Amino acid sequence: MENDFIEEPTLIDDDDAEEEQSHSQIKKHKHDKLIDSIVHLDGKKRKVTIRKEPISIPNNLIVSTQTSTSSKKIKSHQLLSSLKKTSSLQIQTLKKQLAKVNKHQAVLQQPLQKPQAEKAERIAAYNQEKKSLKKWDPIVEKNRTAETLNFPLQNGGVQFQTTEEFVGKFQTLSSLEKDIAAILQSSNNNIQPNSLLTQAEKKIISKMDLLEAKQKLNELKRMRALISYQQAKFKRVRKIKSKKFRRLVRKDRQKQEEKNLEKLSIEHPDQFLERLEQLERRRIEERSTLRHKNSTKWAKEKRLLSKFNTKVREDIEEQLKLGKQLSTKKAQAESDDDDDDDDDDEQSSSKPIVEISKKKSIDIPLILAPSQTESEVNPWLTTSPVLPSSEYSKLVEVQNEDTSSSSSSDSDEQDEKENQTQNESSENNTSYGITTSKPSEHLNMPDNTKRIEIESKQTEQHQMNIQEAFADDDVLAEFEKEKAEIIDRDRPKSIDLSLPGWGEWAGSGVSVNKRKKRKFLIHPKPAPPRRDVHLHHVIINEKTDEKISEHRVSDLPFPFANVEQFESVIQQPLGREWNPETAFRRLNQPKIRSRIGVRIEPLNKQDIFLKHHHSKQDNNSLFDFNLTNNDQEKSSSNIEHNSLFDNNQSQKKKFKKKKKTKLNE
Amino acid sequence: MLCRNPADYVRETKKDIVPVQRNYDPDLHPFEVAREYTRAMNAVKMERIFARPFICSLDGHRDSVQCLAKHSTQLSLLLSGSCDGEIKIWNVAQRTCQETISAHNGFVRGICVIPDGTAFYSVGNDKLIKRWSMDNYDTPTMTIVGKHVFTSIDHHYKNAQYATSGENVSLWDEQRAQPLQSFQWGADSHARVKFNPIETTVLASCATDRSIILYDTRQSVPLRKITLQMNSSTLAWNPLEAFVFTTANEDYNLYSFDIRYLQRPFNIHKDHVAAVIDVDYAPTGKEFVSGSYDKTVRIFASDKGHSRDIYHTKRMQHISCVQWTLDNKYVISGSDEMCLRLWKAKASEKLGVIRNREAETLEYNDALKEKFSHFPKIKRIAQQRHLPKHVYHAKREHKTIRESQKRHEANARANSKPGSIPFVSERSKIILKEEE
Repeated sequence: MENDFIEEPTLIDDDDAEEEQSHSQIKKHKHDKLIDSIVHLDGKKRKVTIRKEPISIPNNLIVSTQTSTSSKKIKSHQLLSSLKKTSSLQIQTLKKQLAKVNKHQAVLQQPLQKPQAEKAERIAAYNQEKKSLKKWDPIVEKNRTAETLNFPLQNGGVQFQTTEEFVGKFQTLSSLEKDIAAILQSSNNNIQPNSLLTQAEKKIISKMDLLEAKQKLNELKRMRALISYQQAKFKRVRKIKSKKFRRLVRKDRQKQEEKNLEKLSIEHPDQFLERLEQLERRRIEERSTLRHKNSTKWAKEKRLLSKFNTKVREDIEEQLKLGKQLSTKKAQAESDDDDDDDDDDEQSSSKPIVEISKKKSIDIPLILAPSQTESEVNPWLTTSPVLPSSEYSKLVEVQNEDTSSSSSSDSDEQDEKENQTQNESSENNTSYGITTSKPSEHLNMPDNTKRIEIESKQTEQHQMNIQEAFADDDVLAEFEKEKAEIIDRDRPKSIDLSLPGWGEWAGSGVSVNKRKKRKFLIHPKPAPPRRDVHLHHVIINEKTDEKISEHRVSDLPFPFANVEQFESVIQQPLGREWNPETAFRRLNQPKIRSRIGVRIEPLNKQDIFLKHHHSKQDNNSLFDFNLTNNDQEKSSSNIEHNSLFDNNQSQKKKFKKKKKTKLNE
Repeated sequence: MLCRNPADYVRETKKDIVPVQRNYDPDLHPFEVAREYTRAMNAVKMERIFARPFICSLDGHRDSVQCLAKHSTQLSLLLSGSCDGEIKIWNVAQRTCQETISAHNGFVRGICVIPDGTAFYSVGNDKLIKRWSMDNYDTPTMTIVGKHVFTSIDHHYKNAQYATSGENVSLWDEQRAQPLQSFQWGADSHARVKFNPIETTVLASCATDRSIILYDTRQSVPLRKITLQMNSSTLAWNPLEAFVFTTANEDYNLYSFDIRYLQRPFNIHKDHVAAVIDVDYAPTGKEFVSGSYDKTVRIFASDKGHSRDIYHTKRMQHISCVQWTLDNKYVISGSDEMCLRLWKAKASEKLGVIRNREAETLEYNDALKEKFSHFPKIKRIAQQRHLPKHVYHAKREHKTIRESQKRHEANARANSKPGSIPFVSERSKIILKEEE
């Protein structure tokens, strides 16, 4: 029917060929034309008509030729548009039908050329082969890494335990084992088959009040929510990459630390001291390393860039500053004490300065008065800060006097300061003899001119201290002496072959003849210059045993990752003297064992994969069983308590169902 | 009162081993590394002293040996075909020729024994495939006249099928006179075809257009084709690893491929100084033997780049075929001067009965040798081989050539725009193209 429909419009639409055929139609046509011309007589242009001669070609043929020219292929929807005269309902149905037809018009593609087709086939075949070869990977891997392979490999022959074997191996339990088993079984904490909870758990559940339980649950939920919020927050904060933010965080942390320290100094003096020591250690470490000295690879690279980039320059400076902060011993109570006097005046006016000074006080919270005046005391040793309070107060006083002598100009301040210190000392007397009680108060006031002075003093002092500390041990001289000794030892010596008294008239004790000395003293060739001639701080040992080096391994052999590994292998003896018999055999078993006269066949695919298949099937069935159990657990967890304890039957039923579905599959 | 159980120290018979009480206190056994080093040194020297691999030569052919085949079920049987069309069946255990068959007119190109060992096939230059029964050698039980010269034949490891190579690679059924299938892909002639012993449907052929083509008997088209820089004379499948084969190439090297990754070989085995003619895997799959036009047989570990051992004699000429026997103990080579030679696979291995204690000692010695194998003195002794003069000189010459080529390349790279001469690994260099 659909086909009919398609043909029909084509006939209608294909010009007036049909009409031209029959005479009557021609007449009608002419008549129409006439009428048309009459209609258009009112001045409008007449439509020029093309003359067509009537041809005597059968109707169908014309249609076919015209359609086959295909320069103007007519689409079916175009045809539909010409069908306006018919009722809309009909058009609707037609449209629907057309859509259907168009939808199902599956046109076969042109077949590929032969070479292309073959190529496609080859690729498909190869990929298939590749895929199927994948299954060999574990087997090959196993064979490659096996410690020992006994040929012929027994591929097939899966051995099942027969009942007889099982009976033969079966052993009854001993009395002790029986007792233990009985005790274990009687325990309340045993999980019984077919139930999810142990007896003990059930008891607890039954005893628990519902409301209480709810409350607990809610509490738990709240806690969890809080934790998760906190975690989310931490996570978010952790991901912030802004340097500014990081700096702020760091500062915050420092402040916090400072506060903690203060608190510590008040509450736990012991811990505070420990902390002080720790800081001191850190300072020492910093001084001994080059970490913030801008000598690292990073710093070197940055330094090149620093010419052009201010940011980089800042980074570098920051590093240096950090190093300085860590290494210098700035927070000297004495200097800070000095500053104290200006404290009251400037505190309100210069806030930033206050902050800076505060920071410094954090960095090195060594608030103990250092022994600036008593230079014979080693600064390395003064870190033991527990001094008797009276002594300490004396010390402070002495310092104050000293500083007053150095800066005699402001005597008013001096008085104030004295008062202050006295106050403090009195405070300290009551507590524990250390001025750490209010470090921020003491360290608040910087006075620039003074500070510089003090710093220069400090550095001098520091050098002096170092010299004093190493006054006794002259390391350099010792080293040089040692080197000279070694050089002397290694220098080839002349050999004296002369025998005292030999060839002389007199006996021994007579001075040796010069000529003889020359004759019998064998001078060796001068040794090549030592490698450490120009390296004054190094001793290179040039006496290596060449004979033993012949036997030594020079490079790390291939499979080993490091020297320790290789050495451990070498150090493991294999012989009977060091290993028990079984270990001896195990250690020395060859990689491949094959027996003479026994044929070794290539791997048998069927054997291997049949076996694997079997084991897989077993596993699958086991897995299924587990799965069902799990499912059961999940489902049952939603069920009420009563059903929890006797869901045997439902479980069995479900299992059966599963099996059935499997079979169907 | 102290008393001992006599069973602990009294022997039951005179030949019984005396029970030895051992004390493993390390203080009693000092210098373990030094002592074991000495033992290893002795062991490696002993190994070199006892390295006498040549067992015997089997002579009797009246022209150079062209092909060899192991019997699939009997270890002692060996079949060899020569250039005058004769096939000889050898009893290797007795070192005698069991039978001589004048099988073909012209070269015998290939022999293969069917899996149950009751018959064998041979192909020759006379375009014939002949099937021979192991009971009666007078006349072939079947003769097929082919359309072209067959260059080799190989039997399927399970089914009653075999494959021949020539102008194309054809798959035959034992019961039919027409090939089941013929594979053709570009090459006009194939030198060798080999079935995979594990994945039995897979086979590979070496074509004379320098390519190696893979096939599957279940497919109507070949699987893949790789073209190397030079012609491969033959290939061998690893009997333990389904996807590994090794080709003997005319550029003096052997290449091991994984058929899933054909872009480059996963190992290059160097050492020969002339075209490698034949290669055969040990049944353990851990080693293979190769025979070369440089008149030497070499044994390679399948995962190493250089040979473990080299066998040569003064009289042995160009090797045309090698086989590794199925008990992993012997290697057989056939060469141009009409002789088959039987070698031990492990040159210093003791043949004959080995008692338990001796076996243990040998194993201990082997373990020691392996443990100390990286020590220079031991390494030197273990690796040193006396080479024939021509091999020695050729080796040095090739070394200088290789070095100079490397130097040239490095110079060119150094003196041109960076990146314009990319570094191509030696392994990927040898593969010209991989066709799909």
